[in-house]
Amino acid sequence: MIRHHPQDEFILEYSNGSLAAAESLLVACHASMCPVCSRMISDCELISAAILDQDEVMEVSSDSLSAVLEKIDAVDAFGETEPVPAGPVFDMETLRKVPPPLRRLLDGSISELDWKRAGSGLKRVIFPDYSDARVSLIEIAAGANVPAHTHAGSEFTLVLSGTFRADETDYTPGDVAFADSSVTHRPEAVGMVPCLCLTVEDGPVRLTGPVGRLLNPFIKG
Amino acid sequence: MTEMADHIEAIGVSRDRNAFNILFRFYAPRIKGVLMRAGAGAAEAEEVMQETMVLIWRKAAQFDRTKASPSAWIYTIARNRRIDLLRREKRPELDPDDPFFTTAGAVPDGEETYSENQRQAVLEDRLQILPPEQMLLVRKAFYEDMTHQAIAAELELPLGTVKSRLRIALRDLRASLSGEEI
Repeated sequence: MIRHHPQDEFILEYSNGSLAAAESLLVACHASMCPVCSRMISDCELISAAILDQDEVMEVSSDSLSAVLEKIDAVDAFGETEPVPAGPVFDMETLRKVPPPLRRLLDGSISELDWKRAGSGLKRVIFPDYSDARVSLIEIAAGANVPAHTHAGSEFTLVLSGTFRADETDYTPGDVAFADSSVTHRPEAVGMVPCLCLTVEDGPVRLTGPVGRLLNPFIKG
Repeated sequence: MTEMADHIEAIGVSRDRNAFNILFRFYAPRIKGVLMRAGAGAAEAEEVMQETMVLIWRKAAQFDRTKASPSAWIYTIARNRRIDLLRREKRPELDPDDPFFTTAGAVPDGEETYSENQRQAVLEDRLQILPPEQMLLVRKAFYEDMTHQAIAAELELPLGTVKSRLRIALRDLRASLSGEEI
């Protein structure tokens, strides 16, 4: 049962395509796991369609239809099938835990990724394709916790497997946690299994604990 | 709009060119219009519209009238195409056909009797009676595809006001889909 959803404005901006790429990835992953939000997205698309059908039209070029017909002739002549790029073959664990929109970023199964240690009981893979935010997969070992930190910008965390607890709230698969500079937290993986999460941060992270503060100069935003 | 769904299916099943001509006449000017509303120049809008029409031809067999109204399906193709051209990162799309995707419990009891076309018609009626200041925001968000931030800047409203008004409008519009009286 998913209890923590992205706010309506993120669902709406994902639907109309104005949401930044990194946040869009997180919303798409959440919606793949959350029937309530995927329903809201299709309702938003339906609202757009309702306005579109009633609205003004823009004259198309005079040769528009013939140009399109020529293109579909070419499509039909060369067959329907688009070449499907050969992607990696994922193991069962990956297929079970990683929503399809995120799989497109993976070059292998979860266990084969280039994990980097990011603290005690914490490892991380950063996806470099995003210019406006830091997108990463993190895994918190069972019982371990992320050092207390806060954010200059905002951080979204989507739980893919396991459970983490922050500020006395448990987040389970499909849940989205939001944190910004008003939040200092020390998320902890609870239960017997590690907690795998997708995180999107759009500002540098600042450690706030006594040891963490000393580490700040070494963190790349 | 039931006939539009028939036309898309006719393309998917038998590559029906006559059906395609009808779709083109109705949708091509609307797609071009919405692309220009969302900020595209005339030449770019024409190009993306043409690509969208070709994609409709290619994808017609995947159309499922129980999942989307023809306009919602077509408009989403146009929007994805525009975003893919604008961005380096491909737009993360939802794939309801992937076994990972879960829809269990998505539709509240009693709502399933409406087809997607009927749901769209209900929305069209509800949009007619939306208060003008809400309609202005709804058009910017659902038609011109603007961010909340950009809407706030353009209308010189606080961001929080834009968020709360759109949240209310979205809730009202969705409530009309489940037959609730506002």
